[in-house]
Amino acid sequence: MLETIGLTKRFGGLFANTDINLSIAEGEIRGLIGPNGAGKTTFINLLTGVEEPSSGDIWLAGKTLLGQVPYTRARRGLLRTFQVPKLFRNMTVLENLLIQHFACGQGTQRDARLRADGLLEMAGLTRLRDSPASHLSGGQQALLQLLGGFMVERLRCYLLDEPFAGVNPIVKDTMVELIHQYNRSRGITFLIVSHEMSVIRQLCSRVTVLAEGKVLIEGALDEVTANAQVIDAYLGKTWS
Amino acid sequence: MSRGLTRRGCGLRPLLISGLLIGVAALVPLRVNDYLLQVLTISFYYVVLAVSWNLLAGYTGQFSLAQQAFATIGAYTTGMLGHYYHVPIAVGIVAAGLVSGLVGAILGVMVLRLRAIYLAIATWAFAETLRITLTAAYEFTRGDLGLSVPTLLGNLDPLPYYYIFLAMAAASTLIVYLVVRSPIGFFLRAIKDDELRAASMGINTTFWKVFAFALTSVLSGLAGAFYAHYVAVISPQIADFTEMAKIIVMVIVGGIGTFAGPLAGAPVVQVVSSFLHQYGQWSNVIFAVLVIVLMRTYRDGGIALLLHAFRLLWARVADGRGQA
Repeated sequence: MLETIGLTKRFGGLFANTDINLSIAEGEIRGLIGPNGAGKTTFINLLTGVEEPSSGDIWLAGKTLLGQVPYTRARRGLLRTFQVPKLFRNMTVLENLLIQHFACGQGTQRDARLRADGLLEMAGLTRLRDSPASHLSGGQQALLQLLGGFMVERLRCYLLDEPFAGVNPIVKDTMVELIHQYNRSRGITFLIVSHEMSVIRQLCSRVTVLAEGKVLIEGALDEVTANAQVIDAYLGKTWS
Repeated sequence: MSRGLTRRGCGLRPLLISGLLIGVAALVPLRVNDYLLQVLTISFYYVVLAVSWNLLAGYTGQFSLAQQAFATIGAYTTGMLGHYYHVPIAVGIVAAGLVSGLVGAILGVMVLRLRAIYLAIATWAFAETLRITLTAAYEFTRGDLGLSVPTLLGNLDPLPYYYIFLAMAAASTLIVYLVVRSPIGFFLRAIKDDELRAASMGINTTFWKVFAFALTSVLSGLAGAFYAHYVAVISPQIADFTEMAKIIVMVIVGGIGTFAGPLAGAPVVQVVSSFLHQYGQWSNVIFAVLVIVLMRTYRDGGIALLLHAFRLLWARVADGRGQA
């Protein structure tokens, strides 16, 4: 579904991403982990077109994404969430979902409203439907941001940047449940950046470890966390 | 920081308030003299500019300082076409809308990558350039001597003009209202809040920013054209920055937080400033102080303040009844 070939991003002399080759199968939930500053968010920015790569290529469902601006990538079915939840604070909870439909959804506005109501119900946010998004707690904002992508039928690959940071366990469970459900029922592919190993273990059969802008190792979570290089990357060399 | 700027942008209430204001305005000629009628007629020209600017700056976050420049482009387009080519007035007015819209779209493209204060400076520079060009090219524009323009109805009876300008203000307000309520309104508000997120969810932010510039320029250009055919003599003075300052004052006095704000703010400011005219430049000082006081104390503006007071009063009355 999503593939990068030798993806490299240089900021001046700094290599934020170096020669990243990553291939995620359709319907896979892939974890992307790594210490702070490993280049995870840069990688997401390259995938979504916020930054142009210095070299390399990105393929989504058999077509290159190079040269495409962020909004056309979104219309090809590649959506993302942000590490710090970016909601439209002047809009209500419902409007924050509807706008995603207006932006690149299909079907009538009536369908979109029904879908939004269904999503809010599933997420337990129905009560807050008409409140301004700025009234939500941090966790609820992260949840609402996640729901946004599910408004779009053509969503194929959903990139989640630290979706669980600062989210309480109950909301976290709701999010995990939603991700599982949309993965199973609609075959949506996920790439999840997270530091929360317990959630990654629940969701991802495979994880990719990024360190200093390079892919260190790829495999099952337990496999990679036992790897000496990974422990070095996280804890520093003196520990091993 | 942007608390409430567009919070009440989408309900039906703004339409009701606007309708009420327009209804009151339609009855005004029964009670006032010709002088005040003319002041109000001009104020409807400012309503169009203020409503347009509110869409561009208030909703889309494009803090342009060139709204008066697009009215000027409209005024001079129809004025010069009429003066040199004897084009019919109706054709001149349509051309004014088209030329203003085109220039607005071009300016929109040029300032695409500019944010906040940089966009304000660039648009201000554009407006100043236009004003100076019109003054300097006096061989064609007649500069500060003024370009004479035929009147719309061939006479100066104030009443028909009053209703024409009122209809123009009402139509512009309705257009902006429909835009704000449609998905386009969502896109514009999203662009103001967070452009990166708007783009990453599939919104063509470039297109909609240029659209906002073009649409508000068309409206202002048309208003400028009608203005030219009403006052009969136009000069580069209408592109002066004080005109832009006036538009901002009108929006703030009416309430930058409300859709109907500019609709009420423009006539109030225009009428008050016409009475303060005898004190010359001092009227500007008084408005500056008023703006500072409003921004410090009640940022939602005059309309919201009145509504708030009315609600308090109503609550007290209802309370009194309950006790009795």
